[in-house]
Amino acid sequence: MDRRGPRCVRAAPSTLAAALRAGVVPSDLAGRAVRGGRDAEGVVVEVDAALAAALIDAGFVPADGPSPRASFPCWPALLPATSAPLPETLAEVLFVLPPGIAWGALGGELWRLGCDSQSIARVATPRGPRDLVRALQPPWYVTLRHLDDPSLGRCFAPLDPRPAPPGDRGGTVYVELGRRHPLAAWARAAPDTLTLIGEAGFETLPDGPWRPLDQLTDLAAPETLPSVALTPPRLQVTLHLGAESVAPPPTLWVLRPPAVDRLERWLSHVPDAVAARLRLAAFGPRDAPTLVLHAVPGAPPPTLALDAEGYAAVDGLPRLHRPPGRRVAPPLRPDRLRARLAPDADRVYWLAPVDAPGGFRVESLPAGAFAPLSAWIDHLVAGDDETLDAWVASVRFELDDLITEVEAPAAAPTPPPTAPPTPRPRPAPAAPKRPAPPPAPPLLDAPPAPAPDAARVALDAATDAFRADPTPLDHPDRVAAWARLATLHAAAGRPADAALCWARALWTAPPAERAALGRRWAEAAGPPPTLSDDAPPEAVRAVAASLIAGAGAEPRAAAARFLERHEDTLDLRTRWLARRALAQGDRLMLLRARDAVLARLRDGLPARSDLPGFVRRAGRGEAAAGPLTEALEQLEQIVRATPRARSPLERDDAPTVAYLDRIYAWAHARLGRREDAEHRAARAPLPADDPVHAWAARAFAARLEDALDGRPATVPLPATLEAERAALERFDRYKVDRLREASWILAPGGPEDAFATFRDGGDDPTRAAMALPDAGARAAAADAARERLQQAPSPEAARAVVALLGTLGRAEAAAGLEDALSVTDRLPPDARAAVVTDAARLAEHLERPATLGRALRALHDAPPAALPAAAAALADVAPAARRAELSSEVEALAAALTVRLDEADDDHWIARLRLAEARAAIGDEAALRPALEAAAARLPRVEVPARLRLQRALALSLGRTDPERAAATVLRLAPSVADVTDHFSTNSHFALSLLQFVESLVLALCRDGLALDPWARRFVEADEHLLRHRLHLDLTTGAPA
Amino acid sequence: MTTTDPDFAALAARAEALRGRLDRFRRALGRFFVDRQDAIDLMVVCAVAQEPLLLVGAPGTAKSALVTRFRDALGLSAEDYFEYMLTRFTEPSEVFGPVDIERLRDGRYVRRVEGKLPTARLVFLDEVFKASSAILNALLTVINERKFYQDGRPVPVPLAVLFAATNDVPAHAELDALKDRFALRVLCPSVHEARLHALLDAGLDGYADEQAGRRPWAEGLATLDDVLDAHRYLTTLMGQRAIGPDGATVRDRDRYFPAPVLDELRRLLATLAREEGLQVSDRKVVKLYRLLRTRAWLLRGGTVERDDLRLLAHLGDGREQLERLDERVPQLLGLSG
Repeated sequence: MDRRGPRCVRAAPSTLAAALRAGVVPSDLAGRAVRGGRDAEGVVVEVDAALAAALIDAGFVPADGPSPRASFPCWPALLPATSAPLPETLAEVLFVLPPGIAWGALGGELWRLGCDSQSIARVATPRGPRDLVRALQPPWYVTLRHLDDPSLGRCFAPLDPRPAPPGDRGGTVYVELGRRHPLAAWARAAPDTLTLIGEAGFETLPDGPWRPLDQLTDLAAPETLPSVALTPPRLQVTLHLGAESVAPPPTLWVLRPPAVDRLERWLSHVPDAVAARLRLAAFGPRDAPTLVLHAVPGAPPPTLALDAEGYAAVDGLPRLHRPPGRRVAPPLRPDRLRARLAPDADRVYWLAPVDAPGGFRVESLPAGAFAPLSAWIDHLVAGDDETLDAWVASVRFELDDLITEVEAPAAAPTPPPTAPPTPRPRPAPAAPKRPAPPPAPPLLDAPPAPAPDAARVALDAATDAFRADPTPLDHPDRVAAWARLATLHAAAGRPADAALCWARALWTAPPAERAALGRRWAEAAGPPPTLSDDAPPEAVRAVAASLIAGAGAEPRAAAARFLERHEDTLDLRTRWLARRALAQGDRLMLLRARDAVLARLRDGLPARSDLPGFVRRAGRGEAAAGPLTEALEQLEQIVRATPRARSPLERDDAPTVAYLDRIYAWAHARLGRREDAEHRAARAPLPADDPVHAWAARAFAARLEDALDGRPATVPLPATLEAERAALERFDRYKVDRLREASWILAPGGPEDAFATFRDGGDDPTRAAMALPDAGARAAAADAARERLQQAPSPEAARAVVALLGTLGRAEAAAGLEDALSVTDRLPPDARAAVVTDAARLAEHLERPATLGRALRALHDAPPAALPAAAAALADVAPAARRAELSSEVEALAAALTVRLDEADDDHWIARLRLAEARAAIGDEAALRPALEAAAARLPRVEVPARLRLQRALALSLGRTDPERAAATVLRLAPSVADVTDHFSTNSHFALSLLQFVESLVLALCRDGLALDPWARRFVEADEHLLRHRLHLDLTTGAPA
Repeated sequence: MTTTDPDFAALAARAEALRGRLDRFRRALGRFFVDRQDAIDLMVVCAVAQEPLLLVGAPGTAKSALVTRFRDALGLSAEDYFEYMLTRFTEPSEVFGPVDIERLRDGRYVRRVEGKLPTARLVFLDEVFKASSAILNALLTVINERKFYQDGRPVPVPLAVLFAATNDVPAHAELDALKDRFALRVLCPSVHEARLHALLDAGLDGYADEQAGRRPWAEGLATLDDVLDAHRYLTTLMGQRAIGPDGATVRDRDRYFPAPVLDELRRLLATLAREEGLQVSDRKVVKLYRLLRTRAWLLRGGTVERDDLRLLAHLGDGREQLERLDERVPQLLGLSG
């Protein structure tokens, strides 16, 4: 053979395959056509001399005989496809029909046996047009027929069943069913082609164009009826009241005349707690009115032993009422019922029976006509009232006026008895002496209030300028800006926002300006009204403003009582300023007020009550509610529709469903959807005869009312509820406590920090020492505490020292803090987190960044068990560290702690989230999203109860993102309700695990921060710091405003 | 090997008449039931093929009535018939006869089988899967080998036809061997929802007949001997081999089971294996062939057709699977329901 020309070489198929895999044949050459053949001895191929030599080195042998004639499209095609078992399942099959056989018979057979996911292509080939049918999950029966008889068409399956990436125009490789090719994985089809590898070798066909089956078939109904146009007559159906098997308790009562006397007689023996659950309206002649009582929604309706017509709410229509045991017949859908009988959303309706059997009359009143029943009651006493001034801590006894200096009498005969001296009239407490107000600086002169329209325009400009101002919030220029904003808000008809701005103006104003600002505020708020129990929020603000301004006609005692009853409606700054004005240096009162403020801050600054509207709306504002509300409704549906792996210990679902409804109701209220909230609160009553359910119903009702009225979630539960809880029988109290412990709604901010909680009437020595009026005495107490700490280091002792140091002057406190931190280093690493948090906050107040950095370093060697607490402490302190320009320390510490996290430890995943929050707090917002994604992905693999803890942490962290992300994450996690099962002993009353699961997802949708943009978030952070700092300063100096 | 057995030749001459009688027999018996023709056809097919048949249905769906009237219609004497309802507590002596005490004294373990299963030609066991393991072990031997051991020595039993009934086919592994003996299972569904009037009419008529001692279904159209003759005929026929004109051996399937239908059978079995997890053993495949041939002969006298493959709907294991196959098999075959 001519050595310079092509040569033939031979090998076994396996040798050829090995040579191709090893790259003996260059890959570009391997993909090209080649002349060769197969025979009993193997494969023969014609190559050039150089390649022949390489192949011979690889195990080929020279082949004698004539050159092969056949041409193969590529080298792998030289290898035959061998037999292979059929796959277990058929995902996609490509039927390649021979020329002359149309797709119709095959398509019809596939369709008849249930496979309508077909697409058909007719492609041109050298042998003529051929039909291709691509079927998803075709029936085996049809496929087997084609496998038995390939003349009907050959069957192929895709080599890679995964869909091609978007934009990938590469072709698809198919392998014949029942066949396998050793190099099929190497095959690459050209774009828009199909490469078929089978018993017949390699074949390439055009990939389409494909048309789905429904485009190629016309479905005809076997018979059509002619349509006949007809106008049906209107049908008159008279609604009537029919019998109903269930009789729900009434929630509305109508007292026909004479009503007033009956109601008064009834009220004479009814507890106030029952009356508090009712609202009253009246209509008709004034001398003989008809009275209507309506139960307050959200709580079980009271049972009234009252001679009145009772009406129960129609299911799904809380504003429409009918007699219990009666229902509207014929039954109508709720929307039709509402449209016909209760069309006005602002009215309350009831169906009063008339004489005709089943007949009724629709009566209604505006919803706004109802007012709390207690507001209409005057409690009288048979004798005359005597109003006394009670002792309160805020009142000082000005005894000077009562002291009369008596000169020593001269020796004289006993004077004749005289009438006893007339008792001096007891003087009213003297008004506190105040210095004459200094003249207001020109900067703070009150500008004239513009007209409302002009005010709004000016307000927009002022808020824009405020946002654009880069100076810190406590810069002196900000005071005038806040005052200006306050005036403009008031002129624009936004008194609540005006008050928030006034409070901020006063907060950072120099002492010389405070009095003037306070007076301006009080003038703007108007004269304080008469102190009454039903004072609206603006009245409470006016009273507070007058106290802050040092005015106020009411006795301070009455003002203090009033404030105590209503200050939960005030924002934190106004509350503190008012208390400080009342305290006049009384440290005990100040400490109580400080604890109340700090308790409300446990979950961060409450947005709705404490942020001016222009800050809250900086971002999505109300638009944020859209995706959150939708997600909430979908969550409800998913939880309701998903079968859950219930433990055999769980009782039937009814009570748990009622609790879930209350959770949803609270969430809707937080998102501003009152009607949805009230509907959910009312639709599933809890058994009133069970003390646990009864307490829970009242607690949730209180929380719902807070949310509906815009109060922050951290407002404490009413004291009456605490008293009722304490009076419960032991096991019932345990179940209530477990519910509170598990529910963020009922106990926001998590379990209380026992050390930081003020216990009324307690004898905690630290608290007593902090309340000492004399700074020297407090310093001595701090020294004693430091000595105890040195002798017996413990976290409690260290925190006590830090708390006492916080009441001293700056220099003294700083020195003591350094000492305390040196002892903290001797504490076990797993006990330092809480001390570090307290110390770091104090260091910031003292403006000691080095001390703050030292406090952070104490977290560095936290052992694995203490990593979650260390991470939480770092997250809490990170904003302060950023302000102190210690961001790099936070980053380094976060990195060091992150490296030591154990992925197998479920609580470390919570730590991971907190560390990401710490990073976000120092500006690395991008660190948060991967941590959230990783935690969400981790959740399904975590067992209850760790999963619930992680889910709650994830929900709270989602508050730092945006509404869409929060909604998407919640809906992604919701289906895992299927795995929630409950084995707690509380499942006699509710499935606690399910409540925690749902509540944590609901929380993720109700976080205040979701609607805020980055500017607003930074504002909130700085604002909260200024709030805490001022509390610290006021307690340190004790000086009044 | 070509059979030139004169007995077979005589049998072959009577085959068509036999088939006619059995065909009339099955159609006549079907008139006395509502929607039970399929079950009766299957009973005849299994009787001719001498394969056990399992009737599956809820209580009160005429399973026992089918068998008793089948017996009456064949004119069987009491000596040739045995039926029993099995419970967990049923002892072997109740089914196979008590041990002969007299012989036991002689050291021989022999049962007195008169009037019991080992002497019957047609047997009906109700609630067959409730049988204890002692009964099951002996029953398997009777069904498989047509033998019964007396004093350690096998004794042939005249059992020709075995019907059994159950509410549902249990899933216990220890019953797998017994389940496998029943190649075919037939559903006896409740009919009162769809055929209330017909059910009431047939039921009242049947009750009146029983009270009056009448047995109108015993028309004498066929006898058990006819069934046994048909079995002999078909068995011999299926085992015949001939030499074709081209010298190739011609088997029964070449003559009576067309290749396309055989391919169809194979595809059906493969599809049912994949879709339903229905694994058919080699033994059962052979039985299926015999049953299909029997059905084709009974209904049409000759070649197996696609319609005969409906028989595969009776392979199901359990009521649910039987209901599914009842719909799926005709669908696969492209036949109406």
